[in-house]
Amino acid sequence: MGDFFQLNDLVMQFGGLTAVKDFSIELQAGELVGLIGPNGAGKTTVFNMITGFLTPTSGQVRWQGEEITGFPVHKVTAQGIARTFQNIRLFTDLTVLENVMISFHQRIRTFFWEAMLGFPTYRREEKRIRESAMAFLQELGLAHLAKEKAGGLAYGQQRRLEIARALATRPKLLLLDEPAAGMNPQETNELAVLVRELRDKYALTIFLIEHDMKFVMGLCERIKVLDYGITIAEGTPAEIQSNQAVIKAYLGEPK
Amino acid sequence: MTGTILFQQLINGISLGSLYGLVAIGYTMVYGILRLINFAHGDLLMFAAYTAIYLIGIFTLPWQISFPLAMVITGLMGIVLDRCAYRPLRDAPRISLLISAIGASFLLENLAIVIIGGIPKGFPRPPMFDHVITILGVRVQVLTLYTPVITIVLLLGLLYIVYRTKVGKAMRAASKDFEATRLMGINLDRVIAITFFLGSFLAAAGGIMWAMKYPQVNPFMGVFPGLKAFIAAVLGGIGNIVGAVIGGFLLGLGEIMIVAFFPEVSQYKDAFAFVILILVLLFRPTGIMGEPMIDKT
Repeated sequence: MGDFFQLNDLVMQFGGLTAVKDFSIELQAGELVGLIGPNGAGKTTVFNMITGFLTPTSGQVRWQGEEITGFPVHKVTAQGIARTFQNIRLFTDLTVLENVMISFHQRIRTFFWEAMLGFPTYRREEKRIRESAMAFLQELGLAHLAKEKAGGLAYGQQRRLEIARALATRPKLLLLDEPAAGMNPQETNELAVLVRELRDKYALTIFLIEHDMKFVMGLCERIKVLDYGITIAEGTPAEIQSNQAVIKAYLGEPK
Repeated sequence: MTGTILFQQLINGISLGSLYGLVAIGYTMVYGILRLINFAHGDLLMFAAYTAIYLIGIFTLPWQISFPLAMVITGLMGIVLDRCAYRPLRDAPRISLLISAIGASFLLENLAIVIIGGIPKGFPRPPMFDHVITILGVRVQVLTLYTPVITIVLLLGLLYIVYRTKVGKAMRAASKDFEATRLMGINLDRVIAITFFLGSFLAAAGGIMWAMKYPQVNPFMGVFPGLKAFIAAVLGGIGNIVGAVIGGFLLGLGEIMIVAFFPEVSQYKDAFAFVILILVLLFRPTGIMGEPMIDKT
């Protein structure tokens, strides 16, 4: 059972700087786990190593019993790992619908000459993709904006579109990088409800980075704390809140 | 200046401009995705022309087969170019890519000299294109009329691919954000290879028509059309496919009209294009249809 997802002693060095040191974690299917830490602690670096943007200096990424360390990004995605970005990175020139449809790319077998010639297989598949993409938009309350350019959406809508786009790759593990950043308290509450719903509906395992403590504490079942690339604490929200090392990392040494 | 002559020059300008446009598309597509001015692109005209000559001359294929085949082979050459000169530098600074592009251009030209020799070769123009017809009192070679038509057809096909197919969607996504594109499960190297194929395929069409228009093929024949097409791409707004073709038409018309109206400065015809380039870069760097390009990392 322990082989759903594991990170073993991940190390990431940039020149002389060690961004992440000996990071290990094991996720069980269906868990909702948080990764917190002060700015520059190496949280996003961990995500980058999982998704293949960075190849760890040492250590292992294991997925469903197999090692996927250093896989190219598109192969990691194909394995069923998706992510969103801290700074929203939608395809702003494409429509909302196209942004989601593009995620289906990896599972498409038709070639462009089939599209050019309007083969029936192509048209059927295109229709099927359009419908599934609309279903994801419906889910995130964006269906009415399908034809809009993604760049024209309001901030909160863009965040949700990024999640829809990630979901469309049919992940088993979803990595959310500061999903609540820039949201007001009400939006943040709605997001927490949504994240839980999505996990249940799509049988997801969620690993998220977030600065909003209320959000993390209310949502995550387990939390890991990074500071200067080193894991300083791990436990339930209640344990983390009372952990001296964490308080020190966030607030500094008491005078 | 009579109306007839004006009409004649208009046709010539559109014909020349459509050639610039065809070649400019390749510059603009590659720039859109890699933010690279592919200086070896012009040499693909030469590559296509020689390929067509040999397919006709050595393999004695009819032109109906050898021209499209030469276009496909040139498209594949574009992929080879990317694989050898650009892909190894994907994560390198932009300037390294540019230097590699210039190097690739010199390599292609000099390889052609070594392998084929520098003496110009005649291009076997199929008799079908030699035919001369008279429209509104103007005698026109049919090739001049076919050129813009072929350009428009190829442009429409390309726009279909870019805006209606999944590969096109992936290309548009890649021009925005590499990392997010790869996260969608898209093999970025494949998308870039297809981009090079399409751009080179169109450049080959331009090269073959260029060689029919000026039937002297030599290893440096691609240099000037390549530079002009690059200027056309900048004029139209680099990164914008329709802009590239419009830029091509404008540049071609402009060049021809300068010669027609001011015959005394006709030897400065080539300088005209570069003056345009400087003016565009000074006053409207985004070109006619361009939007400000985000600098991708």
